Amino acid sequence: MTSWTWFLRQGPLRRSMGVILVLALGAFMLLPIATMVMWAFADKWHFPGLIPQRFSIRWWKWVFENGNVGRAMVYSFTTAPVVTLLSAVVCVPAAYSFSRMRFPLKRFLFVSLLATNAFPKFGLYISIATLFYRLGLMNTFAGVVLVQLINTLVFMTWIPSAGFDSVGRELEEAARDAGASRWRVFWRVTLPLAMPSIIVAAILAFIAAFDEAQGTLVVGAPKITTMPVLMYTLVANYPEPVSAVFSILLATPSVVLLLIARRYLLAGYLAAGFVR
Amino acid sequence: MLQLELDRLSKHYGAFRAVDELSLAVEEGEFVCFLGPSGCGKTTTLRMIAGFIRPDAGDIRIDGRSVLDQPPERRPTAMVFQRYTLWPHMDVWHNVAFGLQLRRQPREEVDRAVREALDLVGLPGSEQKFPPQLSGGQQQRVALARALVLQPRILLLDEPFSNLDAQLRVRMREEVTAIQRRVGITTVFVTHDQAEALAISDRIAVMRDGVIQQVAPPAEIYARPSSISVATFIGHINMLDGAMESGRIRAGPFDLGWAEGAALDGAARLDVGTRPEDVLLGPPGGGVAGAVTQMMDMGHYRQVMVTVDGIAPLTVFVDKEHEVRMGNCSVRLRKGLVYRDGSLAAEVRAVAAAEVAEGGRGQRA
Repeated sequence: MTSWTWFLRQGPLRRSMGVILVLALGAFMLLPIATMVMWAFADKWHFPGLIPQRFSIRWWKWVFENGNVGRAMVYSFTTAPVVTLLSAVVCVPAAYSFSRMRFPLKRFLFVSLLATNAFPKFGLYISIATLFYRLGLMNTFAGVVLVQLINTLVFMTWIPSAGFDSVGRELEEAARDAGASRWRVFWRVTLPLAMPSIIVAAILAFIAAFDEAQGTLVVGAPKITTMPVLMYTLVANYPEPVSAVFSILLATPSVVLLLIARRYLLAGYLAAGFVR
Repeated sequence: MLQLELDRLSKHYGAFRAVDELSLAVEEGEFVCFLGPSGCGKTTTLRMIAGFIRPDAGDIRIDGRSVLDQPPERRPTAMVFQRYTLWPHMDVWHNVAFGLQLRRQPREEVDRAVREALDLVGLPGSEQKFPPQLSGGQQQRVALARALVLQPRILLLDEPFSNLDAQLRVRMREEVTAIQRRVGITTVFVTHDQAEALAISDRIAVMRDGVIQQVAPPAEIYARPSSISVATFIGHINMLDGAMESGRIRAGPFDLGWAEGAALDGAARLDVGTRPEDVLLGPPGGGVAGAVTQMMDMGHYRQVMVTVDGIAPLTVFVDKEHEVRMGNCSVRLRKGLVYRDGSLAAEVRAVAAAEVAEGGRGQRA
């Protein structure tokens, strides 16, 4: 039998396959970012050059001195925290109920949270917009917060629910036994132990709200323009370095928050296996 | 003085009777053990005492007052759970102090009580540690300190050592018994481990299918199990078909002599149980003929299997100082428990005390 892939089974190549794949994946993910960073500092970058011919930071200055950018940043950094907080207030009690209580249609409701993700988003936003027109929510801060909230509901419920699941009943019963009422048990034992999962969910909610562009565009524009919405305008109307600079500004909070989330995710795993 | 009374306590799950009309009275300072296989209702009973399960019928009285309408946090009981009992986000001090802080006791008092409790369980100075830094045994000690610091009227222990390895389990149960004696606290203990129950309790309540089959001190439970199911559950026992023949009890080929004062008339079906240490082996020709087929060294004694014609093989425990050889031997029974329709009817001693002293347990070389 003739094998056309015999060389894949040879020692050296086979051993280096893993390294090659990792490098390829790394290049696939890192090269666009590297290009973006270079564009952000490029003053002149013409075709055959692999790196810009001249660097400068004048586009950074331009971006920071632009009034629209400042306003967008203010809107982004006010809507996203409000959305996160509101989402936590709505979803964490729901997560607790899903984890600890029995009620009819529980499974159905739990899964139905995915419903908003089942339709093409833009169509959903348009129908929301018609509803918001009637309610007077178009072009308002509240309207933008509500539309951004939609994308956070699923994981703000599912992740803390799993967190509550992992808190052993014995731990709650031990607290009851020591003299704590149900309410106190929740605050002193259940909630602190589920906290890592809630923090992770809150970070993901913040990022989702912070990066949300479509719904915010439909509901908020032109009055309320957050950073991702402004991005559309910048990409369309200004030279590449502007959108590159802006991309970095937009990505930085997400990256920092994801690094923090990773830490708490690990803490959550540790908490789940605390008895050796 | 009576401290805890369970009065015809019942808990049913559908058709399943987890606990069925269970009654028990526990004296102040007593250490009572619920012993039984899993699913016998012992943990359900304990959780009803603690208040986590509401009984369907019956009453629970502590110091003469019903506690049924009190939630767990109001009952004067404290429980040590089987596993995962410490709060991992609190250090040892906060774990132990939790209940006292809820009672709004002043800080110095709480501090002193926590220190005393940790001294008591042998973990002084561990206040700042977090549960994951402690071993399994240390965690259960802290859990015990957390229960004792509340000065409950009744301490409830739900198989607290079952997750520990064998050696540690033995050490922990010795320590817990010592602490219980020193504090003098009424204790209800749940276990499926009969060695544990026999070692530490004042009284054992043997449970099965939601009912207590026998309540008695450990020695009594072992020596005179009230039914065949208790007899076979506690320790080893050889069960033989029995019969009454002209006033004498027979068990298989063995003649056990007169059953004094026993109402065995009618001579229906009888079963005779005999503990492995009550089977005596001698040189061939002395009693019923048998053969040693297997010997196992169990450390401080030997477990011997003996076949006798017409009955199931007998398990015999023989002291180390007595020689036993494989092959033919004679077998006698020293003591038998006579069961009629499954419950204990009489206890018979077949061999006179002098004979035992002279014959010894086993063959002389």
